[in-house]
Amino acid sequence: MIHNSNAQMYTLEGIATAVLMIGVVIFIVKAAPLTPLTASYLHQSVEEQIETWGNDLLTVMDYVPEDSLNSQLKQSILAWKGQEFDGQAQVIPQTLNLTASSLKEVFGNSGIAYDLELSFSTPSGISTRAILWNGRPSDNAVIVNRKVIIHNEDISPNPTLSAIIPDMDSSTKFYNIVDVRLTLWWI
Amino acid sequence: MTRKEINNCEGLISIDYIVGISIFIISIFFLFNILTSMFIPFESTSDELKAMSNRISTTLVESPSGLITNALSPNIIDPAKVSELNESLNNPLKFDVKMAELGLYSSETKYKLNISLNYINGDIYKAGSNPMLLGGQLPDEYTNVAKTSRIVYLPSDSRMLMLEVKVWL
Repeated sequence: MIHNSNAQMYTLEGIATAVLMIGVVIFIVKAAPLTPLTASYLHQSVEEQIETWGNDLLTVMDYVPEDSLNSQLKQSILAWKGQEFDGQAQVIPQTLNLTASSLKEVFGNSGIAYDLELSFSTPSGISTRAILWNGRPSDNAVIVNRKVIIHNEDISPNPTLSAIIPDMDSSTKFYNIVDVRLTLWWI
Repeated sequence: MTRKEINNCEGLISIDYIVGISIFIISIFFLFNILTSMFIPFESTSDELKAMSNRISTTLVESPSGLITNALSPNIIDPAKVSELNESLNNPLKFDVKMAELGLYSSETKYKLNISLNYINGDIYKAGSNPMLLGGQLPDEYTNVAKTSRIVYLPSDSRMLMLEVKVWL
């Protein structure tokens, strides 16, 4: 009699444990944020999308309209005074502000964070300076870039910039090549 | 006497084991079901559709046979070519020819296509009162749609726009 009830006790405990375990598993699965942001092979297409947008945006910004000498991208680099603009800081001068608002329109408003950096050669090696900085990128960030060639006459109106970017060939009109790097990641 | 009772217990424990293992198997099955269905919203039914929408958008944005005039300046779209595409997408007589041109013609499978030109915030871009480019079918509610969006520049309006290509079965 006693042993019979023991046996039933084991069954009930077994069922109770199993129900508890299933409950815990469901709770964990529901609670874990499995979104497209979770690092997995599935959000590869999401990364591809921001890479496409980044490349498209740099291409569009580097378009030279018929009535103008330089593209918007090049103009804003040439107008840069060497300041780093963090987060929502007011971006000056006006030409650079135009580029910053394009970036904000395309990426900032869709939940994509971005850093805009310039990379250029110096006699002591490659130097990188940030123009727009929104923080350290996440592990699954995407970098797109576009190279802009600068000549002597481009940079002469902006002595602040020529103090930052050195002339790599003083014997010719070639000044330097700037690599515009845009780092993009979902936030 | 005692020995016999212990044997009874052992016999009953095997029922516990059956109940336990079946619950365990059911929970594994359940977990498998839940995990796979969780990922479905984030992937296209087949990579084939995504490849098609990618290819069509690349043709439109980077090739002179698409919406641009000069292959050296991709993403800069020509309004005349945009309205030509819009016309053929909305004309039943020219639609199939356009589909074949974009590589979506197949005798076995009937692909569906929707192309639109939007503002960056998603609103349809209008030339006058009509959408400048909006054509094709409308996606059903329960289909997986492959979508590719590209940023383009319209020099006549000095404006950045978003070209969206959707392909589904």
